[in-house]
Parts: sequence; structure tokens; C-alpha cells
Amino acid sequence: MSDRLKRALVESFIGTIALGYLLAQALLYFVGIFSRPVEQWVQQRMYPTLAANASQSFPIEAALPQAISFIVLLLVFYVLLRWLYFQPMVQRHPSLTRTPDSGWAVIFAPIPLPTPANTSYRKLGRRSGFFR
Amino acid sequence: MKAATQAIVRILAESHVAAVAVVFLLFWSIESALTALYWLLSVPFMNFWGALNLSIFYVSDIFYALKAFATSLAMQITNGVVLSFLFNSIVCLAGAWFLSRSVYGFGPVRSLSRYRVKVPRGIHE
Repeated sequence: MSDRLKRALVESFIGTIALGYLLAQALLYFVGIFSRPVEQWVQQRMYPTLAANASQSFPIEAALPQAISFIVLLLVFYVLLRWLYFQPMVQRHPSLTRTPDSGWAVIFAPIPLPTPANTSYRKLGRRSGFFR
Repeated sequence: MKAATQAIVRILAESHVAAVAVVFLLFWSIESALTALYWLLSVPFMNFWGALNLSIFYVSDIFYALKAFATSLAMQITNGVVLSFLFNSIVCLAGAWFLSRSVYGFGPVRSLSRYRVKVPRGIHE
């Protein structure tokens, strides 16, 4: 079941689109950690009557929702990335039973580090060697 | 740690996740920029048009309409809404550039334009 879901998500590119959206949102939340307190501080200074109950100091607590959202999104992104893409898909008949390299075993497995065979792209001077 | 980062960067590139994220960020950047432009110009143009119509029937003075346009434009710039959307647009653009640069080694437009060669168009029948 897990393998079929994984295959469907990868082959239909729904997993790619969802993960791309999560990554983009996580980046924006990370920026929000720094920009949201500044934004609130500017608002307090521009409209002091609306923010009468707010403290006069720099509202550092405004960064907390952004930080929590960033951490949760990044965690979900990482778990989904590990589940969907850290193990290459193998052509397998769908009627085969569950294998040890699927499901939670994949998520909690150690990261497959690049071997010398797949690190040769570094010599080409580009970061991932995707556009060779 | 460096090896793990390399592995993640490689997976992000080969799974096309980074490209999709760059597309989302570029789209949001353009959307925010257009919204900023809309907020910047919509109210001043409405005031200009209203003042122009008024001037045809009553005052017949285009300078009154231009003054209304300039006043509204200054108010839109100083009330912070336009600046907020503009900041959002710049942040999205910077995020797209950073992600594309760190994963593919190129800027966002260049790396996405290379996808036309890398990912062939599928035929669905």
C-alpha cells in the first residue's frame, strides 16, 4: 500500500509539486522570522493609537509563530523528501509484498551519502551537476 | 555534514523539487509586484478620473485632476501597503535566486530555461 502510494506520488509529480510548495513556504516563513517583528514595530510607530495596548519595546515575540511554522514545515518537508526520493524507485510488480526498504524504515534510515561514483559531478564546477 | 548537504542538494535537483520551489517563488514574486502596482495606481487613477469628470462639467481644469492624482499617489506610497507588497516581492525573488543558485549553480531564469532541454515534453494519449 505504502509502495503503491509512493509510486503514484512520484510518477504523477504530485509529490514533487507538494514538496516544492512546502520548500518555498518554508523559505518565506524563515524570512518572516526576521521581517515580522520589524513590520509590527513599524506599524506600532505609524499607528500608535491602534497599538495602544502593545508594549513600546521591539516586538520580538511576533517571530514565534513564524519560527514554529518554519520548523514544522521543514520537518514535514524532510520526512516526505526522505520517504519519496531518498531511495530510488525500482521497477517492481505491484502484486509483490511489502519489502524492508519501504515505509517508516526508509524515513528513519541514515542518509545515503554520495559515493565517489556519484560525486564526480563536483569536478565539473557546478553545485549538483544536474545540467551537464 | 558537508557530504549530507551534498546528498540533499543532489536529491533536490534530481527530484525536480527545487525547480518547482523556484517556480512557486518566482510566481509569488510576480504576483506581489503586480499587486503592489495595482495598489499604487488604482486609487490615484480613480481619483484622477473622478476629478477629470468633475472638471469637465464644473471647473474645466486638468491641473486639479493631476493634483488629485499626485496626492493619492503620495498617500498610497506612505501608507505602507505598497511597500509591504514590494518587500514581499523582493523576498520571493531573493529566495528563488538563492535556492536556484545553491542547487543548480545558476540563476532562476537560466536554470528553468535549461529545463526545456532536460525534461522532455510528455505525450498523453
